[in-house]
Amino acid sequence: MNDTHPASGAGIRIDTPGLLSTLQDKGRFGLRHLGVPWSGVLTPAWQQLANSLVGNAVDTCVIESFEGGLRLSTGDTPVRMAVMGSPDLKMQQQTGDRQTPVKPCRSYTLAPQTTLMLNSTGSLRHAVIAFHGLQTSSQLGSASTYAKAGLGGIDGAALSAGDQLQISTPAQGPELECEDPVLNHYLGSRLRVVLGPQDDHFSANGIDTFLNSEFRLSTDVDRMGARLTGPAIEHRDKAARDIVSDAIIPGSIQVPGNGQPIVLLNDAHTAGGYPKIATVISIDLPLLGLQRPGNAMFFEAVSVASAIECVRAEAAALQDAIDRISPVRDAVLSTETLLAHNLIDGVTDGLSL
Amino acid sequence: MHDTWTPLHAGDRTLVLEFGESIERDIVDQVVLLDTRIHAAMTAGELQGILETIPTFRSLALVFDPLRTTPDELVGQLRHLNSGTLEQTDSESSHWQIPVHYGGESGPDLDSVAELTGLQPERVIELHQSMLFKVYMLGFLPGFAFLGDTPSELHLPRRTEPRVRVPAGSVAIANQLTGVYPWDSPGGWHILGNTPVPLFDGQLNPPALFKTGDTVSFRAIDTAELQALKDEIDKGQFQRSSLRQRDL
Repeated sequence: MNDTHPASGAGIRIDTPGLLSTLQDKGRFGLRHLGVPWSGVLTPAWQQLANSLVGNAVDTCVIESFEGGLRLSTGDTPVRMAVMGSPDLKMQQQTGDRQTPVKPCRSYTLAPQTTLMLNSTGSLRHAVIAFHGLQTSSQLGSASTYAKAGLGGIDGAALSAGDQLQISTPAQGPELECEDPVLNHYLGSRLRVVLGPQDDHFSANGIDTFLNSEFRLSTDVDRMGARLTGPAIEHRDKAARDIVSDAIIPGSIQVPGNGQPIVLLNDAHTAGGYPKIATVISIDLPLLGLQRPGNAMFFEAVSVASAIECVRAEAAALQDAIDRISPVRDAVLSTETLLAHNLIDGVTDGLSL
Repeated sequence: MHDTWTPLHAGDRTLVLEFGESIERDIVDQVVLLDTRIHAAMTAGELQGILETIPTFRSLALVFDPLRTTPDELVGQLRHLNSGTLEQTDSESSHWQIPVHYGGESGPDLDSVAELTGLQPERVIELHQSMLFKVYMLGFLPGFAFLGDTPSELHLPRRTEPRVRVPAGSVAIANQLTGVYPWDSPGGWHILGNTPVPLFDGQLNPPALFKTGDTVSFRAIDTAELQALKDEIDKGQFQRSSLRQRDL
């Protein structure tokens, strides 16, 4: 799995990984009973859209990259890619050449020996990048990186400089574009929650504080969870603020003795001993990994039935956006893209002989 | 199984079936029994939409696909789950005998545990070895097993000064539980000893040695046997199955 050959052949070389770049697919399911979290991409809708834009199956592994600094290069063959988010992403074919912006919601064909630079993830904290034909090795049913147990990724770790990713086949057909049906949702400040399973461990005042106060995202946010700060949420019994451990899932909101909520995310442990006042509904979880420290958030209680209705509606909207993906229509054909198209044709002809 | 559990909501894709609020072997047995029944029903094509189950000390969490089912539908189906047939749950569980090097560098808290309990260190080891433990749940870390019950003579609250690093393989106690650490981790339990056997191996499926409901006993080994086992593991000759006991 640890390839050390230089950037050549059909692949991508990681030049610099940035703050944190990991390979993530949908996640590693079915092992929570053994203490293994799901991991997986924090923004599954973007994973599906990005993969659809490059002609992959929607569940294919993507790179999830936090903040700026990720820099990668193509080898001897062109690579079709797409990014989702709000990034400042640029491609550059030769050192000294002009840098061309790479916009989200659209696939691009990177010519051989092209460098892709994620200068920043913009107003949001991470971006998702898909590559056509990305090859990853699956471990316990997933390629998702979970470094704590050395699972998935490249040798069980986050991406690091020099890592080589393999691409199976060059993409064919036109570059594609889509609409992003979730971006506005991800920019919002509302976290819908279903109260429970331990809402009865909190006083009426505590529940009121939780649902009617502003909480700010702290700087303590990672793939394991997000700490928020605000007025202390009051427990019912101050002497018994711990519980006998039960299951945690992404979205569980633990409130330890200090009354400050922690929303657990994809890499969090699978059980815990703090009472859980509520659970953030699955489609609102991406906000926590995307928004910036200091942003104000509000918890809003919804019923399970209404939560499931919203989840189904968003799944339908996502599927609709995927179904309406179409060839790029109003593309300004730059020298780079023209060149890339020619190279693609050449490679395709070569392979078909 | 009627009315032994209470359904609690945990969002749009998890339903918690709660059996109790304390750590008791009887509750764990009920959780494991229902879990086994549910998996048998899933194998038979029932309970469509359940993705996975998570047994804990107090509850069984059911993770489901909200595009395919709802908590109401699942609760309705669970109330009608055939409670008759399944009594051979023991066949699902394994019994493991785990070699432990007690005391010294392997068990830095053995002497303080002896002091706090007023027992000789040898007696602490003897008591800990005498117990047939059950795996109450896994969690905290991948493959970390909470075992119970530790003999009552050894019940101690957690250390007032948690350690920044509890080494992988540590066998440690707190209150009524014994924990076995598959990974280096911070921790506040009293470390009695260390086992060299791998408790979690991502190359194997299942990756964790134990599962909830398994039984476990510990066997004291000396330094020579510890070294021999370590050598065997380093050479890749160690087989997990050598720890499984056929007869209790």
